[in-house]
Amino acid sequence: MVASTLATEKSDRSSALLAEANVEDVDRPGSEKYQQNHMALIFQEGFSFSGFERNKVFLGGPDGRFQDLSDISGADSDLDGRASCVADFDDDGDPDLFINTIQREAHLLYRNDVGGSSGNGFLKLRLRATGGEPEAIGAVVEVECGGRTHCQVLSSGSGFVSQNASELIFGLGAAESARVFVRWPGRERESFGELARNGRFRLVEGGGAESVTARPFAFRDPGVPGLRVRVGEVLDPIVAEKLTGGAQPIGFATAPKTLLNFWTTTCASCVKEMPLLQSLHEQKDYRVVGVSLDPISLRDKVARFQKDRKLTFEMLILSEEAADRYFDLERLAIPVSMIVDREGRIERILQGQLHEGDL
Amino acid sequence: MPERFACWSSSALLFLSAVLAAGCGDSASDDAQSNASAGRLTGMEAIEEATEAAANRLIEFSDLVRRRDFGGAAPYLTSDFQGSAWVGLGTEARTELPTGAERVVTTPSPGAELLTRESFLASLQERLSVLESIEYVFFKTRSAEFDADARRGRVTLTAQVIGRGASSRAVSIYAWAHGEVVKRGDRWQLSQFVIDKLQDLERERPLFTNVAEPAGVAVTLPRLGRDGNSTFYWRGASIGDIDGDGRFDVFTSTHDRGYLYRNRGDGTFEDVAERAGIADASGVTGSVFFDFDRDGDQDLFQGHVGWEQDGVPYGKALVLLRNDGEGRFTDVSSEVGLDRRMNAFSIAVADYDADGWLDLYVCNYPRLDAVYPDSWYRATNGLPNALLRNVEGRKFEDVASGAGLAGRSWSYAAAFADYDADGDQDLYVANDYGDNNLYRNRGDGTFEDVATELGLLDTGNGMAAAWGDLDGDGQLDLYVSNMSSSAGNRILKRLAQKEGSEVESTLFKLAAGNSIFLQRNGKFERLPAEAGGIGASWAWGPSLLDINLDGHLDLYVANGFISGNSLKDT
Repeated sequence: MVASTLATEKSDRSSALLAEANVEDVDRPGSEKYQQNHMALIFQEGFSFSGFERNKVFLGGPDGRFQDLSDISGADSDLDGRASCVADFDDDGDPDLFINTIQREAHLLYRNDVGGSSGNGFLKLRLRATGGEPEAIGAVVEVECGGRTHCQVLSSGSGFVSQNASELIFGLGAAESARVFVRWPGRERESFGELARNGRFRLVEGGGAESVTARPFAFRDPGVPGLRVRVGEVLDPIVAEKLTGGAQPIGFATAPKTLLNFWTTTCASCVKEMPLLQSLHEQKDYRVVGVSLDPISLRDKVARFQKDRKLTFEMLILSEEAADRYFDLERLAIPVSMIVDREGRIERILQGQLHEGDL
Repeated sequence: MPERFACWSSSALLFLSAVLAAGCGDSASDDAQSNASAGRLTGMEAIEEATEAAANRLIEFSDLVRRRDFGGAAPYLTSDFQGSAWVGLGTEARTELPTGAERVVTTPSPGAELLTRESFLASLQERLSVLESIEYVFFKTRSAEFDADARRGRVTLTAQVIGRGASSRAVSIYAWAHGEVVKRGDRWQLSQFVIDKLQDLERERPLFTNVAEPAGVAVTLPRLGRDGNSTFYWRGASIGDIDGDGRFDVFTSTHDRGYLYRNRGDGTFEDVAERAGIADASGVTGSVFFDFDRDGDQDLFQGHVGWEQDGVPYGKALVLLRNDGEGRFTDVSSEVGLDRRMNAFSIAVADYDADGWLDLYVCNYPRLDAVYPDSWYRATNGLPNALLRNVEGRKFEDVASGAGLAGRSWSYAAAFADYDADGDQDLYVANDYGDNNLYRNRGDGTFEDVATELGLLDTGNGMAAAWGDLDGDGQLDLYVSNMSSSAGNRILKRLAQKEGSEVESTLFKLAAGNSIFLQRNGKFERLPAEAGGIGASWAWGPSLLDINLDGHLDLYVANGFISGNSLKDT
């Protein structure tokens, strides 16, 4: 049954499913047949079911509203995330996120780049209970500052198949300090007095606030998205094409330094840097080679562009297939420029529009 | 890449069949049965077929726009196409948002002229030229209605663009629009695109950067369903400090193994799963670090999917791993009486009976590949959850039934908190295919479900929950994530338009999205949708965190069910 459904064309499949939905003995959505159909379609044929949905980021504010900043969050992955855990992995005072997905890129580690640079203060609080189980799971910490009290609960397991770090991070905004109270599970609310901003403390039940030494570190930036080559790597000969048609491999032996510039006619920053490339070419410090990543069918358009702008440096075009060795064009931000030595070794990679002084 | 476009989208039709089947199967409403009679279904089916066909063409169009192939995109618009200008459209209103982000909303000038196809594409090209890279473009069909011959339709759409501007500025463009589609030959084309509202969102840089690769935790898996990734169980992650060095480490798992990422404190993690003795953690679902024996280190409890059939055990039982204090783990499950097989998903920890020892609540969600809910929205054939009482670190015994916490729901997740500040740990349980539970701890080791009286049933496909003070009044509020499908919303809107029966309004709630419940005077009030924060899609874990440290909790919601090869999934 499943196999025959899979073998038919789209409309037949839809009709078959819908027909089934109406047949009494095939019953409801949870029915075996329904479920088998839909699981089999997803599994065997790779169909999407509410797929490629992007994760959401909502920012709370003083007006009680949540602003959707997902699209500019950098954390709006379209992968199928399941677990989402909060921890300040790099001990810089703001919460980071670890995500586990079900396929493809399985583990995402989102470094928070806004908390630390916001100028807002924080308190990082760990707890130690003495009147009950020591981890103080379920304790509620209240923080009073700027005329209001907000609280968080120390949870162990929440969200979906997830556990956050056993440390509560409170944002203080511009406040210099905050009054801190702990509601220990089943016991008295205890005051820990006024704690200064950007402090890390262990609050011990009946024992005061112990300062914890800060040991921040930095996660490195990831490589340039979409770039499959790195600085130091020796480039395979790039087989580009002339704008007039025909293959044109790019060799590097003829010049001490080659500046490869990858661009498209539709990219504003690319167009803006062309005069600079032309002048670099005229100064002869570099052998300048423009490599268009426009669709190969647009080679005439690139040629016209070259002519209209009076660009006299070498100009080639790279097919999508040839480009795939060096770039993931889905993710690549352009323009990208590379400085390559005589041996074809990449000395530098420059992303974004080139400016005087970049070289 | 081309493969991603070759496949058929099934979700909307599957959803439609599901909705109608649910209506048919509901014995409580005779009306619902007659509403779902054959005549209406045919109409619905035809509309949905046409909508999907037109929507899928716009997905192809979107990809061409993303590649800035405007020549290639032109044939997706009719030659007499008319569309709004993307530049200089009307009046702009600027708002500063948290984190220094800026939003500009453009309202079209009244009587703004529509452009020809070529001018429209040129205008779009100009608009996108500020982006150095375009990561994502999606012209999405939100609703559609068609003429009787199904050759012409009126649609509402959104257009979403995400990319980077100069100096890696984070930029997004979002348009709400209406228009028309026509079928020329066997292909749908867009004949009109009128922007009702345009929103630009910008920030000097994104809020987060994925550093998985430089941090050494990047792992690539095959597509779900392929060899090496072929189980249908959702795997989680847990954070703990395994070696007492004060830094947070991560346990997580994939289809075939466990990962224990030790935080080296220098910007990288090392996977010590092998050395720690837990690499063979295939099929772990939820997991939690906690100190079950009170010896001062973080032990690890792992949920698995396990079951028995005709007396033969399958899958794995629950696992408890004792930490030796230096991050090496030994399986002590049988020592502590944990030979239990269940379909464990999320796990929550608390000392529910205040005896000084941490107990475990384990959600038991029937196997997706074997058991089917007996109702789309009030399933009663789930499995009893477990409350594993920790007997002084020596033994765990399941006392869920006696405590009143077992249930027969399809429970995906649970979260403890003393929401009423009476000193004991209460428990919220998010259930798929039904109502959620708020179990109030009576303080004597038993619980009563007060979800109905406190307004926290949140009927639907509950996926997960988290407690936090979302309005900054010192009381705990609740965020509940639910499943929401665009296709489902589109279809249900049509159903609801025809006539609103009780079943339909219930079904509509199922597709509505997440919920924020604010605690006020001992009850919970649903935050109105206009306040935001709930518009996710097929949502999973919510995380509550103060991203920008301004003292107001923010929300992160993982989203999406299953992404296959095809983007065509409306």
